[in-house]
Amino acid sequence: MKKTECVAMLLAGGQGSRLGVLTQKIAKPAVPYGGKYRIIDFPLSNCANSGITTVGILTQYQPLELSDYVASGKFWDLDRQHGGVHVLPPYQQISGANWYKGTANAIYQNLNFIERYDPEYVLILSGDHIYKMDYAKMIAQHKQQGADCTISVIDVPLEEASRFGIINCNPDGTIYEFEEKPKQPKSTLASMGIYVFNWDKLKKYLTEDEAKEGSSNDFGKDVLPTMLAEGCKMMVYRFDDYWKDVGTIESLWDANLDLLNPKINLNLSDPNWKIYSGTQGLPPQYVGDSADIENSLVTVGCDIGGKLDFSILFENVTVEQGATVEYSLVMPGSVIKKGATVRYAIVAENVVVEENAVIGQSPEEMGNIDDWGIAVIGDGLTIKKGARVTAGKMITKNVEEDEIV
Amino acid sequence: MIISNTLGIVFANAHDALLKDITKTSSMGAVNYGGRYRLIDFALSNLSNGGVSKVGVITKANYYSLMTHIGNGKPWDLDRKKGGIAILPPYASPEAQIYKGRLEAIHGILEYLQESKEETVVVCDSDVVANVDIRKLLKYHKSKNADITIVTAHGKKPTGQNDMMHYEFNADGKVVGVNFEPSDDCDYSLDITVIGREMLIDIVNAEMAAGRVSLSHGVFENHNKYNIYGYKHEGYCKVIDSIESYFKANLDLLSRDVRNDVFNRNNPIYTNSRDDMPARYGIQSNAKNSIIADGCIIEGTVKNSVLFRGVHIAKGAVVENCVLMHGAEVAEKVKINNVIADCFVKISNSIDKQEITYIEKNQTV
Repeated sequence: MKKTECVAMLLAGGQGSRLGVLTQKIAKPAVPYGGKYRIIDFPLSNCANSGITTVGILTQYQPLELSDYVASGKFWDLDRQHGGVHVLPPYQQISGANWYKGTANAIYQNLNFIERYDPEYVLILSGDHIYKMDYAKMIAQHKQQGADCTISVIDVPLEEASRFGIINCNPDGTIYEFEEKPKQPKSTLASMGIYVFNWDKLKKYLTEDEAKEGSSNDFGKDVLPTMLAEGCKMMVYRFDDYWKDVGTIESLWDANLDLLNPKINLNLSDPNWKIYSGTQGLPPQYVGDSADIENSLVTVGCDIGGKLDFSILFENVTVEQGATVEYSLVMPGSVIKKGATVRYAIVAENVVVEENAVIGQSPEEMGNIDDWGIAVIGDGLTIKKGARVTAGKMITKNVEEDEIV
Repeated sequence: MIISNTLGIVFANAHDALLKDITKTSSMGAVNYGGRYRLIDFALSNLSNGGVSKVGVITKANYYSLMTHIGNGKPWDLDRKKGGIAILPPYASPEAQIYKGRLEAIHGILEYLQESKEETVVVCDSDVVANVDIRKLLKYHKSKNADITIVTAHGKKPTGQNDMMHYEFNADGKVVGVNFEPSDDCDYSLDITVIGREMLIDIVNAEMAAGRVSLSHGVFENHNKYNIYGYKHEGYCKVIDSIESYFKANLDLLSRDVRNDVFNRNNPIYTNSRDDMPARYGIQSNAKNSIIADGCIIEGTVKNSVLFRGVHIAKGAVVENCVLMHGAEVAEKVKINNVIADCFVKISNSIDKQEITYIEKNQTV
């Protein structure tokens, strides 16, 4: 088979359990974002824009919707004669069948996929982050520095550093230590979970790690520290643009509302670096006579008759006259009926919020701010007339008329 | 099961001249409509939704933007191994000019028609906004055992095309009379016609040999010779035959009934995606009764208007009763009314006239 310089492997098998009801039926990378995107659009668009056209997508948890969405890769221009996107679920072998045990094991089980392209470099990505990044620049630095492994890092505030995998490096960028969520971080460089490996080194260390008893087969915990201990040349690649993990309800909500912040550089339709997404032939949005929209994103198929402020509406959302949506995300196909209020909430797909129901509360309404949180409504549910969902609740079944939860 | 025995032929340049400046550098089919569409999307989506998987698009002039829009036909599911979409460039024999009428145009694609295997052909213009159920139409054509079925609409005949026909039918729907005069209450043609492929070839050859220019005149002057039926389109339709009707057809979308009919969710109208962000409404934006496409940035006031992709309304600007095509920009505090602005127009002076003001592509005013 024709040689390919770099193959990207996208780890998309995680459940994203901290997103609760939002990932009950779909894998985290398939979670909707920003009105018309899904999280996986970011790494896939970045690949396409960086000129990386061979991408393996490792799926495991609830792969149906994700595989269906990725399909032939045509939305990202990744439907190619040579390479293109490939969805790679775990499979049965002569030696037996195994689930992907850890991030490293997932790649190990697909070494034969990478082998077919005989690349120089392998780029490891995850489907958990919102960012626009030119991977070609990172690979160019990796080549120029003659590294065995390059890890993309971002400077985080000191008080948040203990939430991340922290990387300690010399002024020239050579890594000398990894610290997983350190209590007293020595630096503020956090790993973004984006790695470039020389293919021969990656193959060697993954094979050795697999044979090692007691290994959790994880890049961060096992493979990277072993490579460092054995003297591999490991370098950091500094990234200093917008990057956000969307692993929790709060961070998902934050990362969406960041799109409304004029100070944040996150233009997703920049002609030089577009984020692509699947499309489905919907008419443009209609804004009615009674609508009152400020500080919001609204997309195709929406029909707005109510009031919107600091909110993001996904495809085919209806907000009827007299309804109010504030500081909220309303995902595809949901309907907010007359007189209903949605604030500080994430409403998943195809939810019906009936007349005069109230979802979520603002922080100001709370007696004790510690009780406050984003309210989340699971997909396909109905919140019946006059019902109330209080702050921070995660709803997994219909809420009855005038019920308070 | 979708096995189609029908071929689609679309005229991309139908009545270009009627839209004057809008079609100066592009064809009728490529004219922007409804916030994110081009007029040809209706013909292509109707055919595709009707199970037609082979479509030839007859072009005449200025078809670059049409070609980039159609590409390989993917949005309409017309990227096929069997059939699919074909752009048929104008054919001119060494001694002849580019075709003048439809008769010559179809004569120019005889090879394509002869090579095709489909039994039936649906011939469409691209200057009509209507969601037409082609499956029903074909069923009707068959049930009447018709030679030719023409789609008609009832009402006041559009006046832009001076050769537009209207028909008289008997109780069964068969054409018994043809009329060219203007009429307030008649069944006029939407230029969507069903005909047998071989019959079409025979008629074109015969009419060319007889030295005729107009296909429809020839056929309808002999309407007793053929079994011609009319199929009444019940839903919304608008023939685009002037700047005024173009403007009206866009603003008609502000009616929920029209939107539900034109953008019928069971027969969606497909178009090319531009991958824009959702529309962004800023602080103090004020949008009412408008169609707004993705990629728009609304910081001012918009009322009773249709905004295409990537339109920017700056702070304090007021846009009323306007159709602004993609990439148009309205500067701060500028007030405009009754304006059609073509793509990438920049407006920094207020405009408010009784009649419609059309601003050409890329202009700054």
